[in-house]
Order: sequence, then C-alpha cells, then structure tokens
Amino acid sequence: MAGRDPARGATPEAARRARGGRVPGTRRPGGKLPDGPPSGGPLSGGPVPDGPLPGDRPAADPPAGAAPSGPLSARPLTAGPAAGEETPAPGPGRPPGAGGDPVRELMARHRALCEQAVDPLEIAAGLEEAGLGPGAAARYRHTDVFSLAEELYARVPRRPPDPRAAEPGESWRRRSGAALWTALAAALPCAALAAVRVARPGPPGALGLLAAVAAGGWLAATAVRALSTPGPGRPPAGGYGPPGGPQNPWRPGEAERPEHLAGRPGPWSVSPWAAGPERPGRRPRPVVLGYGLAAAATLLLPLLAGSGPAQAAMVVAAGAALGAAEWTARWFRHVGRIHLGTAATITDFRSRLRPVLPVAVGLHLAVLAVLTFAALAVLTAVAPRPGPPQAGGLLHAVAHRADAVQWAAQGGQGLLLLLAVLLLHCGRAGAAVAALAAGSFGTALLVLLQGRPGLGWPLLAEHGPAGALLLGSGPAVAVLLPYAGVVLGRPGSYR
Amino acid sequence: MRVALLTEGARPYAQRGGPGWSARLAEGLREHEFELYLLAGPAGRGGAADGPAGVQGRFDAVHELPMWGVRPAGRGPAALRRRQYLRAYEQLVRALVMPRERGSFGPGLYRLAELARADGALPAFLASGRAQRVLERAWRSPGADTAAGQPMVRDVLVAADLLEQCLRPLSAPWYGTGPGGLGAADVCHVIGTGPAALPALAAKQLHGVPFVVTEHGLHLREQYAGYREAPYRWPVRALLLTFFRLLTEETYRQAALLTPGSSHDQQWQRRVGADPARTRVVHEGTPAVARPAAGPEPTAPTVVWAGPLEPGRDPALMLHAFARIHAELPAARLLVHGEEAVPGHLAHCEALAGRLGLTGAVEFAGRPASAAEAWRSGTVVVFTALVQRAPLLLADAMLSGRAVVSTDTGVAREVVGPTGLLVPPRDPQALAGACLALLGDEERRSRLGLAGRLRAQERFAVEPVVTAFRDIYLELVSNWPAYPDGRSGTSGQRLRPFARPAEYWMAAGPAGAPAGVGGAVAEERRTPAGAGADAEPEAAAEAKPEALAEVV
Repeated sequence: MAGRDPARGATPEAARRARGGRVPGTRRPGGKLPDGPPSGGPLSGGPVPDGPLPGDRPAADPPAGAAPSGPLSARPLTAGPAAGEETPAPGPGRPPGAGGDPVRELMARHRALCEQAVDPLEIAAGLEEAGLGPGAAARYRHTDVFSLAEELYARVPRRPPDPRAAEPGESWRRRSGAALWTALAAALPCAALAAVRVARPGPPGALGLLAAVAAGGWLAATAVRALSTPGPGRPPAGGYGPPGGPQNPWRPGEAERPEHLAGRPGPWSVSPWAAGPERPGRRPRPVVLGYGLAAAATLLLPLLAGSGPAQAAMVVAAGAALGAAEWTARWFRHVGRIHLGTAATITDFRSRLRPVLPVAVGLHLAVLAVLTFAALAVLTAVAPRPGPPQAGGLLHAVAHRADAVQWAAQGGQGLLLLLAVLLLHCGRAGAAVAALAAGSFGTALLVLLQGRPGLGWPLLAEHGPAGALLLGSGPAVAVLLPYAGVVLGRPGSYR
Repeated sequence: MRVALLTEGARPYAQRGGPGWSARLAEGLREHEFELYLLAGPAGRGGAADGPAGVQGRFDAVHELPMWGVRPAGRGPAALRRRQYLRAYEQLVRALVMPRERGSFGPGLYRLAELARADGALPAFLASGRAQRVLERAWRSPGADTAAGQPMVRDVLVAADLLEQCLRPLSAPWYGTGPGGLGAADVCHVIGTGPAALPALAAKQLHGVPFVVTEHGLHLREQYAGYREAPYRWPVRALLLTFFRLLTEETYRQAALLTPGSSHDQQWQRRVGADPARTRVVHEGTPAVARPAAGPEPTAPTVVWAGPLEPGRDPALMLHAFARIHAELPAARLLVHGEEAVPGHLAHCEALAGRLGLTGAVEFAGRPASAAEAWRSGTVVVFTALVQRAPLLLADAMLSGRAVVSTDTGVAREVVGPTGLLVPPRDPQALAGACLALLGDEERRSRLGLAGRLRAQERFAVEPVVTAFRDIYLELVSNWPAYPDGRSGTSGQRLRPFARPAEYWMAAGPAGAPAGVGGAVAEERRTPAGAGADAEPEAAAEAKPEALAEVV
C-alpha cells in the first residue's frame, strides 16, 4: 500500500487510507458510492477491482449480498433461513478482498449498519456481532475492529433509514362504533329516568332517587368500561422505554450464562416498546370512575331538579349527544396524532392544531342542536302541548317547546361535556373530572338554593332548573375553554 | 467500612452483573457493611421472588428506586429555580447534540444533580413543555449533528421522555450524609455503568465519595445493539446513544478504579476513554468451580453444542461441520442443548440437519437439567457463537473437564487459552478438523480437558474476586481523602471508622491523594471540630471507640 502513490492515479480511497485517517471526501450526495471502476493506476496494473467482480474472486467466495454475516438488522428473526447460511463462508485463510480495497466488500455487506450508525463504536459492535475479531480486522489492514469501524464510518455517508409505515390511526368505523355505543349507553338511562320523572312529577321521592342512582351507576360503569379497554385512542400510560434496559429483561451478555442455556428468560416476542401485557394503565383508574360519576351527575341533575316533559326530552338528547362528543374527541385525537407525525417543530404543530378546536366545538354544537330539536319534535308529535293547536305546524310548535334559556343551558352543558371528554382523551383526566364536578356541583347548589328568599336572580327565579344549569355550567365552560385551547395545542397531549 | 453497591436490575430478573454476584461479594466480605442501591424496573412488574427480598439478608439495607415506566408524581420547580434548571438542562442537551460542546456534559449533569437533590423536581421539570422547547431549540440550532435527519416534534417528545427516565436516579432520595445516604458511605461500587453510575457520579461530586466500576458485559455496547432494533428515528437514537457514550466516558473518567470482567471488555473500555492505569481485570467468579469433574465419557463419540438457538450463536455452523465429521466418523453423534431464542430457529436447524442427511445422528435435546448434565453427555464440547461476550458459559464447560472447541471470537481466546482448540468463525472445515482431531485422540482430549479445568478453577473461583475487592476497597479508602472539598467534615459531625484514612492522622496528608486535593486536606486538617493540629490524633482516638460502638 505504501508504494501506491496517490499522485500516480491509484484508487483515491485506497491511497487516502494508506495515508491513514478518515476519508471525508468520499461522502457523496445521494449516499451512493462510486460504483464504476476507478481510473486505472499504472502501478497497480489496471483498475483495482472493487465491488463484486466475479472473475476476480475464487469460486468459494460467497456473493456479497447473501453473505451470512450481513448486518444484524437484516438478520432474519423468523424461521426463514438466510440464503448464505446454507453454505457458510469459507475460512479466513485468504484475504477477503482479492483486490486492493478489501474494505469495499465489507462496506457493501454492512451497508445498512454503516449508513445508520451514529458512532464508529456502533459499527464496531455490529462488526463484532457479525463475527469479526481482531484477526479479521488485521486482514483488512487494521490493528483492531475499532479502527476498521472508523474507516467504515468515514467512508459510508450517513443516510436516514426508510421511513417506517405510519402507525395506523383509528379507523372511521371504529370511531363511529364507539360513538354509537356511547350514545346508546348514555341516552338509555336518561330516557328511563326521564320516564320515571314524567310519570311522577314533583319533588323526587325515594323511587326517583333510586332510579337516579341506578341510572348514574349505569352511566359511570359504561364510561369506565369504555375507557378501560385498550385501543389506539388511549393515551399510553407507560411512555416510551429504552431498549436494552431492564424493561427488556434480555440483555445480550446473558445469553452466555450457564443458567440461561434455555433461550431467553423473558417473553422475547413482546418487545418493550410494543403494547405489552405489562403496560400499566389498562386497569380502570380511580380518575376514570370519577369521570363517569361526574358525567352522570352533570347529565342527570336537571332531570332530578326539573319538571316538564320538554326538559326530560332535552336531557335524553344531551345523553345521546355524549356519543357525538366521544366521536369528536376521538377525531380530534386522530387529527392531533397525524400532525404529531408530520409537524417539524412545536410551533408548527401548535399553529396546525389551532383551527381544530373551534371546528370540533362547532361540530358538536350543531349535532347537539339537531338532536335536541329531534327530541323535542318527537315529544311534540307524541304528546302535543295542551291547549289550542297553534298555527305554524310542527316546526313552530317545537320552537316554542323550549325557550332561549333552556337552549343556552343545553348548549352550555353540551360544551362542558365535550371539553371534558376531549381532555380525557388527551391525557388530562384530572382537569376533565374537576371541571365536570365543579359544573355539576354549582348546578346542584343553585337548584337547592332556588326557592330561598334573598336569591332573587331573575334567571334562577323564572327559569328554574334550566337557569341553574346555565349558571352552573357556564362559568365552568368559560374557564375550561381557554384551558383546553392551551393544553390541546401541546404535542405532549397526543402521545 | 460502608460500601454502597449500585446496580440496575428488573425485579423478577437477575441484577446486572449476574445473579447473586453482589450477594456473593457481600457474603465474602462480612467485615464490611454493604448497602444495595437498586434501580429497579417499574413497580408491580412481577413478583420480587428473585429480587431484593431474596438477597435481603446479605445486605445491611436495600434501597430501591423504580426506574422506567410512568413518571413519578411530583411538582416541577418553582419559577426562580426553573431558570437554573433550564440553564443546566440546556448545557446538558447542547453537549449531546453539538459535537463541539461535548465538554459541557459533566458540568450540566452535576448542576442538574445539585438542583434535583435540593428539591426533587427534576422528573416533572424534564417532562414539562419548557424542557421540551429547550431540547428542540438546541437540537435544531445550527451546528447540531443531524447527519441523517432533522428531529421532528415526535422525536423531541420521545427523546425528552427517554432522557427523563435515564436521569431519574439524580432525584433519588439517596444523597446526603444521613443514614442510608450515599454521603455516609466510604466507597461506592457501581456494577454495570449507564444510569446505575449516575448516583455514584453525583455522590462523588456532592460528597466526595470515591467509586469503583465493575462491568461484566459493557452497558454501552449493549445500548448500541439494543437501539439498533428500537423503533426510534435516527435523531433519537443519535441523541440517546451520545448520552450513553458521554455518560460512560464521564464515569470512566471519574471512577477511581475500573474492574472489567475480561480483557475483551477492557479493550472496549479503553476505546471509550478508560485509563489503563486505573483498570484491573477481575474475572467473574462462579460457584461452579467446586463442582466435581464430569465422569467417564459416553461410549459413542459425541459432540455437544449448548446455548440458546439463535443466528448469533450459529448452530448452523455446527451442523455443517458435523456433516463433515459424520462423513469421516459415522459413529459420531451430535447433541444440541438449548431452547430456541428466536422463534422458528429450532425448526430451521432441524430442517438443515435433515437436508444435510444427519437426521439420525443429531439430537435436539432441549433444555438440559443443568449445565453440568449437558457437558457430561458429550465427548467434546463445541461453541460456535459469532461473538462471545461473557466468559462464564465457556468457563462452566471447561470446569467439566471435557475438551473444548470454540470459535475464536470475543473472550474465547483469553478464557480458553492454550487449553482448548480455537477455530475461526464461519469455518466448518476448520471446526470439523478440530473436532475430528480431538475425537480421535483420547490422550489429547483428556490432557486438554484437565488443563482447561485447572485453568478455569484458577481464574473463575469466587475467592480471588473477594480478595481482589477486599484489597481494592482498602486501597481506595486509604488513598482517598474523606472530605476533599472540606465542606462536609468541618461541621462537628461524629467521626466514623474509615471516615478518614490512617495516613490522614499519621502523616502530613494522604499518600496517593490526587494533586490539588492535598492542599484542601492539609487546610482542613487544621480546623476540624475546632481542634488544633496537635490535638487532633487524640481527638480521633477518643472519637473512634464511640463511633465503633455506634456501628456495632
């Protein structure tokens, strides 16, 4: 090597290597190495064979691509036998590259390893795992594996691996199914309690309270069940784990312990970063139960306090709208995850997500309005208002079933529930439960204080439970909406 | 002497450094107090059958810190301190991403350790949006190493999460000089580097406690292998691997002594920056040295291969070589012990044996009742792994007194030495030749087997390990000033045995104290507990019995 003068036209890489040190000039755009034969050097008597030139190598040499010592990342983990494994490479009695640049073949064999290495030491570890020791390094004209790895690191340009297939988001069908189930599970107990209350108007007696407790328990139980089943919409509780750490009980060195003759002690197929069976957070947590109870209280309180079939119909509509809230929250999370995968910076992510919350709120309010209108229409068709029939048909009659305060209260309650569900799906269960509890507690307090003298608020005095609901949930929404605007713009909420 | 053993281990599984290695050490050095500081897996993972409960009796105390998994609950720092946190974290992160600023890793780390020790708000801080923004800003600033891709938002999240988990030991409640605190220990002994070395680094910085590092299988090398198969993007891998590399370099720099388990590991340590003058190879002891040699050989010439079935152990090479042995010696049999470690590899090996026409001569025996059982069933023991990192399996085979043939990779050369046959990896012809040579020569077989047994008994006994560490601890403590910074010693604390070396009281200063510390010590000598320099030995003599009584 020493006799090969770079000035006389030998392989540039070989010449630079002969001088020792890294070869920064070999980094080419596009990550390709020069494949064509280099300019022939007069000293070496023609072009230095590089790459797999079949005529130049003994027949026993394995083809570079199918060599069994391929990079470990390309090693078949399943049963598929590597092509090269059938005919193991012959011994090291002969230099691996017959030509002037033996490293080139090694480079081709470990291309993926070298391209994605972050450090020469990573290549050294990979080479050692492929069976290269100090002896083999000497055949590549290096003192040890480390300097060989340094040469490979310098000669192969870094290239990012092919992007993995994006994690499949939640499917449209799955989201709609969950929303329908939630709507049913929430509307049914509301309807049952509404029926009880309409049949026995007046202050809720023992039967009414019992029915309310049963309906609330049912609501809470279904919420817990829905939120405790795993799915792509659930935020991971465990976060990300480093591989090779104790989460992955298997460490390479332990293969060689006598007591571990029998394979790996841990579940090998379950990698630590996949959703393994030991991932915490699959159990129903107390906060989820709290959410269920608070949501039930928010939904059912107007029924307990209020009177009249119109109020009952609106509560049933609000229960059904919980399904819409579930759908919206899952869609929101889906959108957030898509942007999380593609956004470059946190600021970029924030600006991408800024318009999504108003859209979600508008969507939900529209669905809520349609559902409420439909419930009132059914009510009007089934049990028209006593008195003379009004002019204007069904539409007019429905519009007169509920006044503006009732509509506003319905909207406020729906918004409160939507924001709570959104926060719950984005990992802020504590805030969701607190907001719901505050809203329902305020409503209950106002309902209890309704009849007291000295509380002469006209809204409360004239509109009864609807006014209490509006006054109770309104402030909660006013606090929660900006909070959600800030929190839901954080990328950390969509993990 | 109080020795703090720091190690990392998942609860249901063995600790790093081998099951019971530290327990055996504590057993052998009964004259010292051992406290185990364990970085455990997330709480609630499996039973504690093999964990601290099983070894509790051998340690004076076991302190556990749940690592990995869900972040521990806690509040972030207050607004004023947050700026200090941010500055320290930025320093650390810039060291990770800027190739030119590698030197600021240590200062950033120690600053974070100091802050975390004071208020324990580090985990919450690292998970906060502010810390993420600092990370992103540093990562995307010009000069950062993003050779194979710019970091994206998700990379920032993942990396912040991983860094939070890795740095969790800094907020462990282990610091301070009170009971159970690392500051009260005389020596820290880190088994395996990585996060387990963080408390030792912090204790050295905060309290001046020296530490010794034992590594059986390099943590850094395992990270390189593990992250290659991890589902993280290149920038995350680069950041985390740089973190581990810088952490390991800092550990090697600060360690008073390194004791790798083999020269193979020692080479890696030197490559990462370990000082050869402070490195001493201490082989891992195994209780199997007391086992009697395997009895008479089986009647049929049998080749035994043992190990988990996976491509890295290369059982295919054994099968190819055995095809040649079988052609020469039709009576020969091959016993393959071990379960499959990669799903489907057993079927692959069986199919290969069938294709080579060895169906009758090869037996896949599965997991043996014990390792000794496996060795006893063969005439010659063969290892064909592409790389052999840990010496114990080889040593165990040598202890049986059977002749060993191994591929010349990793530690094989230093373990087997002249007492077995080494063949190049991936060379069935050479392997078959070596096996045939041994199978046909009973005298050579028994000679090599006996030599191997003696060699393994000499190198892998438990007793030399215990003796080595007895010396190492004493040497470390005698050369180390107890309070190099002069802060902790002057507050009129009770004196503890070995809290100051003998030289401290007898001579002008510690003999082998590092330069630059001697001055501080000499200065400190004049002041402790308000006593004059002349009255000091007496004060020590008075204090010592009292302190001893406290220990007893």
